[in-house]
Amino acid sequence: MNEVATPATMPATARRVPFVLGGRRIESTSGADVVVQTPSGEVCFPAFEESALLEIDCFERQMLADVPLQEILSFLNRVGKHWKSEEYSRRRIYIRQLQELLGYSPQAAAAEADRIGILLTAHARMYDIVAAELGSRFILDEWIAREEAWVRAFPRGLSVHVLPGNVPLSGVISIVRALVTKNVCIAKAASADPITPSALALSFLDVDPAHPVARATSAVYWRPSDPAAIQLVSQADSVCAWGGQEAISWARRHAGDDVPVLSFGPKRSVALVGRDADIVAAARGIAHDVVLYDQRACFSTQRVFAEGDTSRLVEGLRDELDEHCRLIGPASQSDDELARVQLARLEDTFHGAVLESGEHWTIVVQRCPPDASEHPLGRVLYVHPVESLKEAYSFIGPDVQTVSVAPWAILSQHRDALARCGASRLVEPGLSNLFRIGATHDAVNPLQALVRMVAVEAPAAVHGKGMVVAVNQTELLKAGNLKDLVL
Amino acid sequence: MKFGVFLTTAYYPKWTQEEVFDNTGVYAVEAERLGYDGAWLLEHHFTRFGLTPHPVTLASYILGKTTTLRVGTAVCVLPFYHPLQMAEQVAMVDQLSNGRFDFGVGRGSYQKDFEAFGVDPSKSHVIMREWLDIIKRAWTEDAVEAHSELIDFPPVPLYPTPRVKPHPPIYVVCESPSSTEWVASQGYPMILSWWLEREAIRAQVELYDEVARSHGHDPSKAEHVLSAIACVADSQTEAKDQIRDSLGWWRKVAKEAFLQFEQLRKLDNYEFVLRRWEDQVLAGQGDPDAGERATLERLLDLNLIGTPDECVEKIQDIFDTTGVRHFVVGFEGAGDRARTLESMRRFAQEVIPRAHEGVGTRIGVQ
Repeated sequence: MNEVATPATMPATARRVPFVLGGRRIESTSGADVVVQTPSGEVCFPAFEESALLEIDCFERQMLADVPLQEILSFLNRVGKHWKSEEYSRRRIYIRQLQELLGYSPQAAAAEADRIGILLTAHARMYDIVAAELGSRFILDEWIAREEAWVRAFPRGLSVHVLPGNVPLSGVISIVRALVTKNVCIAKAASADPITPSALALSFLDVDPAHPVARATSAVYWRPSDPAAIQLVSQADSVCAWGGQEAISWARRHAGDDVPVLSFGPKRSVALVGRDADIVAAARGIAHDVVLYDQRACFSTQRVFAEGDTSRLVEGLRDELDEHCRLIGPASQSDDELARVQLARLEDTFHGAVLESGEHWTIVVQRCPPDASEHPLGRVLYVHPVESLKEAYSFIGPDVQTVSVAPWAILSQHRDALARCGASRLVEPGLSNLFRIGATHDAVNPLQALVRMVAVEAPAAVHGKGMVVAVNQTELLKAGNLKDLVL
Repeated sequence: MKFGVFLTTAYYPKWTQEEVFDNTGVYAVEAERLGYDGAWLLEHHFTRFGLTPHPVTLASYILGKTTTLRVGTAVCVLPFYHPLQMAEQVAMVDQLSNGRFDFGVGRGSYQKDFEAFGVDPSKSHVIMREWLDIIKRAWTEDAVEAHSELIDFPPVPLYPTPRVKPHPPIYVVCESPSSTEWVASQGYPMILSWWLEREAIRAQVELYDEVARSHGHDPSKAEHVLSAIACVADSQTEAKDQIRDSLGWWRKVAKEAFLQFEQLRKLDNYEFVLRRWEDQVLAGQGDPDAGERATLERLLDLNLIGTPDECVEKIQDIFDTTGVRHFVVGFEGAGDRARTLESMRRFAQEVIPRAHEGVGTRIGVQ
């Protein structure tokens, strides 16, 4: 939690970010406003207190239950088309604010707005994701025959999402997951990204504030100690918490006993490069995965384990990091962040590492990985030469999300071991941010936690599988010959 | 708060051209009598959407018939004029009216206009910006000259110069973010469109504020104008019923005259318009007629149509959401002269005073 000020100490420059509650913009509540430090600025939120909670209490939690999935996706598509257009005011404001408040470079900010647009317009993919995770693209709208039952996915109701600050798109993904599963979504912004949830919810209002999806989407901010926030989470029907361990523990602590809590905690990601890899292609992919989001994302490659002589790989990485830094300018870094990078460089040099650095990147070549949890982020790539990629297994644990592997042909030699060690995603370098249809997220299918799978089971007249008579259990018990008749 | 009326000169099928102009004069005089702050005129060519091809001419007529009413253009389509002629005409009207003229400008969006006047629509924004710069310099400098790809003339002094110094108020109609950013960078107030959702207008104003500030302009001093359609009746249903058909007709005529879809697809500088059309079709689930019907009903909801109470509420909501305090309201959708005048009267007497009061309370003015 970053520094919080009351209005008396509120800086004049703090930018106001409204709440959006049930399709309405809320500029202020009766409580004192809350000022939040962002990576490179300040914003001011209304206080999350009793009145906001009362408003949420009035929401019909099943308001999307009878809205066909196609209508939800059509609406998201309409909104997404705006986001993809450079002639959309909110997109322009968003891009400006990503730069001003979060320190994004102009290219990175525009790319993030593009990604939001692409996600929202990906209706065909969303049907496939629903099908992959829930079994049928129709299962949210109707009862689907499955063996001797008919099952249907019902929304859980009020879905509270404590969003991440490192990757704005992840917050949008979280909200979209809640909406496509027909939940009412309360999205709590992170202090490291206070603008994305509101920007998205307001863009719904730009298109149609009366649309059920707009009314089912709220964007707020709270402090963990806010009693109203604790009460809200305790009343939620599902909770999804992103971010640091503290945020996830907070959500688990306050969520109801039987309520599913999806958590997407801090993760790290690595690359494995075998002897036979196409070094140029591998370097290009790894550089992309390092530069995108400045290593702040869970899927950002922080370290490379490379078999044999790494000099060609390092040479390739130098060129590709330069190129990708040109394509995606670096985020501005605070003095603390810069100091962390400098300190890491000094320590690594002290420990005998070889350092290569460009204007906006650093490569540290070091035989043995230091403490796995320590990484200064900000486009610092560790390259660890190994004799065999199996040496990297000891470095892989449940806190590793994405492992990119090159060449792709060696994947089958390592995937089982990597999975057993704890890795949850295996990809090719350069694709770490693309979550493919059918893929899991941190080893779960997130949509499953957001629905209740209700079953209508076949009546007695329907023979059970393996049975040749109607199911009449009392008669079978009386006859005492269950085994003979049934099998 | 300020309230003006639109004098659309819409050439509805049931009226003669003479009736249209007679009504316009009557509405203007009545607007002044009822205490409206201004009357605003449109510019259109080759369409029944409006019979005013030259709004400065109509402005001079209205200014001559009134004594206190301000008269503005919403808008003069600058690319269709020589900038020096426009500067002269506006300066003259400003002189003759003792500074009661507001100069609203735009870049145009009707296909036949561009074709007939030989103006390249892909350059309309560039032309408008350059022309406005020339006009402003003509009004404020001893002599003005221009040497560019678009226009070339030697130094000339302008006569007359405006009575209002440094020049009459300038407003620019803008809908797209690109236009908004340019207008904000120049510090001109915007004329905002009546068919956008409140939040979309709010976003436009927020973008304006950010850009204006970054160019050293105080955005709180920009008095943006919001256009609106109005009809006051004893119930919202009655009010909607009064104007639904004529509003539908007006939109149909506008759509026919507008840059057409095939043309828009080739024009990067009208991408915003294309997006809105596309969104309307999507809102109708792919059925353009259904989309149009849905849009029409949404416009009736968004605009100042209903009982006096409902109109006051909407004005306050618009103010709360967008901060806009200057409304220009079109009453002519009511269909005939008597109903239009009645709606104007009720709005002036039953809505405006309470809107002033409500907004005054909101901003702490006693």
